[in-house]
Amino acid sequence: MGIFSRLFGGNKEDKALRDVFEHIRRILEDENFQNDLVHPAVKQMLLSAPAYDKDPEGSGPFGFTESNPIPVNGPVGELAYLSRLETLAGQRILFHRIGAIGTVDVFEAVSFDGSEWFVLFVDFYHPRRSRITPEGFRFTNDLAQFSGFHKFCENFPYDFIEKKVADRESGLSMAYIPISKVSAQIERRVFNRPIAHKAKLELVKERLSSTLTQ
Amino acid sequence: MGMAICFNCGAAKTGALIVCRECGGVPKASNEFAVSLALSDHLSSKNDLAKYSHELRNHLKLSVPNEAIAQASEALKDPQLLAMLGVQSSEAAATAPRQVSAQQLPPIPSGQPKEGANAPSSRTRTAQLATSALHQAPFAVLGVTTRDDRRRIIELAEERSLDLDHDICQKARSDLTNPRTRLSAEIAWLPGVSPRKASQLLDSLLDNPMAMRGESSLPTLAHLNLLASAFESVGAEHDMGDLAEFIQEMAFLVEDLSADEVLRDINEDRTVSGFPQLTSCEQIEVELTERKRHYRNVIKDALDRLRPTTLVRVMIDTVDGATASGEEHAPWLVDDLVDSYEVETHDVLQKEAENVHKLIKAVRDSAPSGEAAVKPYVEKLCAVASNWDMIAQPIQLSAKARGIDHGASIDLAWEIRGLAIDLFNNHSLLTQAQRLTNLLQKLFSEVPDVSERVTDDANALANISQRNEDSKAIEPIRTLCDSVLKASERSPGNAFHEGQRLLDEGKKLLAALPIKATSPAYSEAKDILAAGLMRCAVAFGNETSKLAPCVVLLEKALELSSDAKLRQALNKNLATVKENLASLGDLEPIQTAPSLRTVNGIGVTLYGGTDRRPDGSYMATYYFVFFAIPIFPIARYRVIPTGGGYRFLGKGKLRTFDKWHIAISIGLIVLMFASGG
Repeated sequence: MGIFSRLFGGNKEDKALRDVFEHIRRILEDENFQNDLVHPAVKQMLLSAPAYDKDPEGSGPFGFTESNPIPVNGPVGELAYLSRLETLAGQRILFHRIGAIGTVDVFEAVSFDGSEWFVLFVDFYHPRRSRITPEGFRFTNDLAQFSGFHKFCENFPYDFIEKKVADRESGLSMAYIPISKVSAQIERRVFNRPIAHKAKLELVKERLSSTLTQ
Repeated sequence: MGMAICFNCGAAKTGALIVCRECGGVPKASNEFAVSLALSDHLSSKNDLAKYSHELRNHLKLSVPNEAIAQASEALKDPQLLAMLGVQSSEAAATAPRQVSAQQLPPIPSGQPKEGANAPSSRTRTAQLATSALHQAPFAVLGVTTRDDRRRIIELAEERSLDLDHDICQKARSDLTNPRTRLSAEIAWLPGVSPRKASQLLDSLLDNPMAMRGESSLPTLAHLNLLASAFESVGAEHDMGDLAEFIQEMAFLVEDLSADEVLRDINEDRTVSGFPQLTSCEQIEVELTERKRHYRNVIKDALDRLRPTTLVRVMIDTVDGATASGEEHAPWLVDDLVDSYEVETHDVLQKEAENVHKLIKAVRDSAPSGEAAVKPYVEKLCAVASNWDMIAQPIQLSAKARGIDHGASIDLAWEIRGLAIDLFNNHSLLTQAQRLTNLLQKLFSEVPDVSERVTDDANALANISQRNEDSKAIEPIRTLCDSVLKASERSPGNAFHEGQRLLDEGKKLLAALPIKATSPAYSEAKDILAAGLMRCAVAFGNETSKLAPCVVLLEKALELSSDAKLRQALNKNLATVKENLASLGDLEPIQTAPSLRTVNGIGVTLYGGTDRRPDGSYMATYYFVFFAIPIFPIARYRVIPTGGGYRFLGKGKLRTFDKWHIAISIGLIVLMFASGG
């Protein structure tokens, strides 16, 4: 880039690229922007709910039970929050939604290296996402591009790429983690759910009030 | 879903640690968790599971290998799983029987232990109290009995003042000796219970408050006062089902309160203590009204110590049990509790209702974009409406039992119903409309007006859905009909064969349809075939004027058809064709009339007139004539004489007589030439 283009803020392609990056950043991080992406009526519901990191009346381990779900801002907030989590071993997670118990959404997650599996409970009727993590997690320092879905994946996590491609029309596709970053993990690894995790899924599925089948 | 078998009865279930739908059993202790996990397809093969099931059902020794138990125990170290099981085990006892009945599954066998039934659960039995309202009563404070006289009360008050707060003792003394306040103290105590028994009961109350529920042969008021104190031991972890039963026991006991009985018990004691006897029930009734309010407050305080979701469930179970699912009047105490509950939940319900309205708007706005756009909002709407209904359910049940409407439920139900109708009528979103209607049926079954109307809606939508499915099923018949009609249009001369193809293949398709022969769609399919046959007949008739095949097709069509208009059209066409057939028979159509010219008696002309018809027509033979003598018959025509000429209707075949005529003429000509040569 020449000195003049630097002086005048770069050429048009640079500006377009910056706009795209800014748009992605807002989808991933800007809670107000995320709230604008949902239907106005739902947005109004989110904004009228209390903003906190954790339900003061919640009971049980934070994020691991429906009586103490993680408060986040709407469906995009769910993706943004869960995508920012990484295990204490530094592994980010792939996740999908298996249904809901009342208004609490239930997600199944697995670390990128397949070593740890989780069932996470998220309540999206809040104006902002929680600033704290469930025990055993921390927030990643990487760019937290979306690494999961707000829908049920029949062949989780092997169908991540298929689901991402199918989600192209959602308007969020550009905020998703590049396929190249996960394809090697998914294709080379055998993801086996531990017995305890299978038992947890059975317990949760028994109590789901709604399920997603697509 | 996995496959597992119940550790208790050996029945199959869909998860290792979930409630068994056959026996209601659920693992609670750590060894039961481990065995249950081992008895699942996570750790055992299908054959192993079948073997374990057999062993359990026949009360044989379970042969699960130790390695499987060890693996299960290892898995059970997972903290989240343990947390989930903690919730599961505390909720299972209360929710399992309700889930079972809601899903109309077989009842729990009577041999199975049913926690929270008559006997208090082991957990509630161990709860203890440090003190209670009864221990703060003036009689207990001073250690006096209902049979002690004024002098004894004053003495004991002086004595107790040495150990206790002087003011408290003096107030207790005053309460017991002042005629205006003594009655309140007596009503809040244990009237009709002997001093010795009263002392024992107070001790038991602290050790095991829930044991008071099993006390029999106590006067009603005394029993109620003991139970009211026992409610003070109810904590956040109290078993939900047990608490609901406890409230009902209390409520039904309050119904048994009799002012006469209380008057008698108090006067019996006053006879001994020397206090003036009561002469009427009026004062008693006033005090009892106050006492009932106290009972309500005691229960409310106990409920307020529960988590909100537990509180709601206890209220639902209480009202459901006390009103026989809204079919019977509830005791006064339950109605009063529901009224308080309604006031306290009003704001929450209103806020949730607002959320429902917002989601309804979101669904309406997204409906033009189709099913995919609407589905997530409908899903959320279902969740929020279910939440709303769960909170409102005690109020709905109570309203049903009292025979009154719960306005908020009706408003909300109509709003959701309006949305369902809108989704179907204006956007053809049948699946989502059905989903909302099913939701309404589930949520508002306690609201009679809504329930009836929504059941009608659900039936109507189910019928439409069925019709849509049936309509899809008869699609192959439509396709066949289209192809036949296209072929007939291209080549009308083949329309009869096409019609026969339609009939043959159509009948096979009809026989293979996956719908009932009595369904409207089946009749529609037959009508489609009939209409196709009619069009083939018309095309063929117009093209060839051959009417007999048309009659065949039309008669077959008439056999198949059931639609009134179609049958009318078929009958009309059939009558016309038959009439034409009757008048024309199998005549060939002619484009132009034949020449009837003769020159000096040589040429062609018509002779004869047979087979006369009412329309004035007859069959005439067209001859080659020589000097007006018919030599060769050429053809036969059906004609109608028109003064100087004829109107030709069609061409017929030569008769046998005509063929002989030709043969004879040829023979004579040959003979003539032969003899001439």
